Amino acid sequence: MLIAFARTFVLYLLIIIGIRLMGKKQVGELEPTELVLAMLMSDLAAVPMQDFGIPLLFGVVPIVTLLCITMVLSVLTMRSLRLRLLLSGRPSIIVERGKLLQKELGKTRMTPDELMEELRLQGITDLSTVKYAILETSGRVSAILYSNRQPATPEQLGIQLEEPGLPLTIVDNGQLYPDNLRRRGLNRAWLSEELKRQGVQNIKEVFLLTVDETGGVYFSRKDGNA
Amino acid sequence: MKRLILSLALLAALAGLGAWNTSRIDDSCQRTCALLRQAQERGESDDWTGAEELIRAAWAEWNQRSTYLYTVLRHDYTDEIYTEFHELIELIEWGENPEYAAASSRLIAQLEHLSEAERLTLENLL
Repeated sequence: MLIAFARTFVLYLLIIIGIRLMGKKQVGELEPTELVLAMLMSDLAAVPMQDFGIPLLFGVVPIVTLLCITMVLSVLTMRSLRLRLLLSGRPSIIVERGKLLQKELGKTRMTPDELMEELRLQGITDLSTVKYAILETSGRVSAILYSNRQPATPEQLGIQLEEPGLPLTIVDNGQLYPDNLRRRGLNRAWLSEELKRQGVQNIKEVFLLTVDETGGVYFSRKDGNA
Repeated sequence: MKRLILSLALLAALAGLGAWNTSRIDDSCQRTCALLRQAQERGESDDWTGAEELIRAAWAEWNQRSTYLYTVLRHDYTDEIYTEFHELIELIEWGENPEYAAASSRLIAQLEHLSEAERLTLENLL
């Protein structure tokens, strides 16, 4: 049992490092090489985790090898368009100027039902409002609507709005982030005042406190401390 | 660029370590097999004491790398070789000569097979 624990620990850490090295993409946005890596890594790690007769190296070496190959391909595809096209393919335009390109749809093996589903997920139900729909290399569909079908922006309506700021977390579940406090040009004296204003005595009573660039504050008290 | 160089270096290191490992296992198996064959020859000339000494030397030769071998080989292979060595030692201690000859040949074949299985050949690859 101790062996299972130790192996799981080692292999799990290795996978986490691997996923971290792959970057910040979500699983749905992975390129094909990265998706293959993610799938393979989990299988490679699982085998020595369960079968103690297999040396740990039989899991570690293939995982490290895969990570290195993926890193090499990742750097090379950044530098070479040809290689990028070879490995990741190119986006396919499946709706162009409102017209469904049936040949292109056939090439991508995407059915009209699947296209409609992807559009619905983006809140688009009427295909006639779509000027361009592009099937990206990640498998997701990007839709660009006709201008007169897009939601009006405040600028178009002549409305002046305040620019939103980027909220930084100052307190998270009772824990202070002093770096963020400093980044917002604030200090502990301000924090004490703010806590008093919000009716709390102690930072431990705070679930979430954020401050944006415009000085806008969001405060949430911990449950049970009301 | 740094990541590319590091990854390529790591790949080269892994390939190099793999090749070194193959060579090391081959060397271990060859040395052990050589001692076992010498023991067989001693047995054929009825020098059973000499044969026993050589078998124990072969076992010591194999066993001194046991940690390394358990780290790089499937445990059922190494366990089987461990069992067969002990069987061989028991057979020769008890003077079970015909069984000893068969067991010795079996162990040598197993060691040779183990060494062969680690080589980068088309057969192993496929």
